[in-house]
Amino acid sequence: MFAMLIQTAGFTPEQYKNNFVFLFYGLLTAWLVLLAFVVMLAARERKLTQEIERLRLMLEDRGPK
Amino acid sequence: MRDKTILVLSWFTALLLAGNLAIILLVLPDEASQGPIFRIIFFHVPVAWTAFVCFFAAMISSIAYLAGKNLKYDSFAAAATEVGLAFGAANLLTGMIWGRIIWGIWWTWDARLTSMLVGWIIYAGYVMLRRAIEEPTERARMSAVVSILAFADVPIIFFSIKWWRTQHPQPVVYGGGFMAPGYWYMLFLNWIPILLLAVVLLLIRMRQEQTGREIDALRREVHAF
Repeated sequence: MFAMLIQTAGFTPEQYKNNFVFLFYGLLTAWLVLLAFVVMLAARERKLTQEIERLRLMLEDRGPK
Repeated sequence: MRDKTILVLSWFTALLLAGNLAIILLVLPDEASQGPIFRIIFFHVPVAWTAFVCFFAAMISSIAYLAGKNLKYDSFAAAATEVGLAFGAANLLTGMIWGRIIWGIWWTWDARLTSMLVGWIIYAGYVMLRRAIEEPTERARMSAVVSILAFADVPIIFFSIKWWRTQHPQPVVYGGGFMAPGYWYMLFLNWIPILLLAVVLLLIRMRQEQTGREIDALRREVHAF
C-alpha cells in the first residue's frame, strides 16, 4: 500500500520520505509554538500569584489604616 | 467554576485534536500532486483563521473599551491579541515549512506572506506597548487605539491573494482554489478543536488579567498608606 501511494503521488521513495519528514517538522513546530505560549502563561501565573501574595502580606503587616 | 470549565474544555479539545490527527495521518489519502505535506493545511489554515478571529475580537473589545471605559474590555483585548499572536506564529512557521517543500524556498516577499508578517509584528508591538505603560487607564486607551488600527492589516492579509499575483496559492474557501470534498470537510472539522484551544488559552489569559487588575488595586492601596 505504501509503495502504491508513492507511485500514485509520482515521488521517488527519497522524495516521499523527505515530504513526510517535513510534514512531521510542520506539525511539531505548530505544537511547539503553542506549547511555548502555554509555558509562558504558566510562568506568568506563578509570578502573579507570588506578587498578589506579597502585596497582601504587606497590607496585613501594616494593619488597619 | 471557571477552573472546572477550563479543565473540561481542555480535555474535550485534546480528545478532538487527537481524533482529528489520527484521521488526518491515517485515514485521509495523500494529495495527488503534493504528497503527505499537504496534510499540513489542516493546521496551517485553521490556525490562521483562529488568529484572525482573535484579532477581530480584540478590535471589537477595544472599541467597547473606548466607548465605555470598562477595563474588562481592555483585558479581553489584551488576552485575545496574545492568543492570536501565538496562532499567527504557528501559521507563519507551518507555512514556511510547507513552502520549503513545495516552492523550494523557506520564504518569499509576496503580498500574503509579507502582510501576515507585518500584521504579526504590529500585534507584537501592541504587546510591547502594553508592557511599556504603567498607568492602567492610559495603557488601555493607547493599546485600544493600536488594536483598532492594527486590524486594518487583517483584510489586507485575507484578500492579498485576490488583489495581487502571489506565490501563495489562491483561496480554497472563497473561490479560485480547489480542494477535494474530503479535505474540505476535514479543514473545518479540525478548526473546531483549534478554536476551542484558543478559547481555553483566552480564558486562562483573562483570569491572569483579572489577577493583574487585583494587583494594581492592591498596589494603589499599599501606596495610599
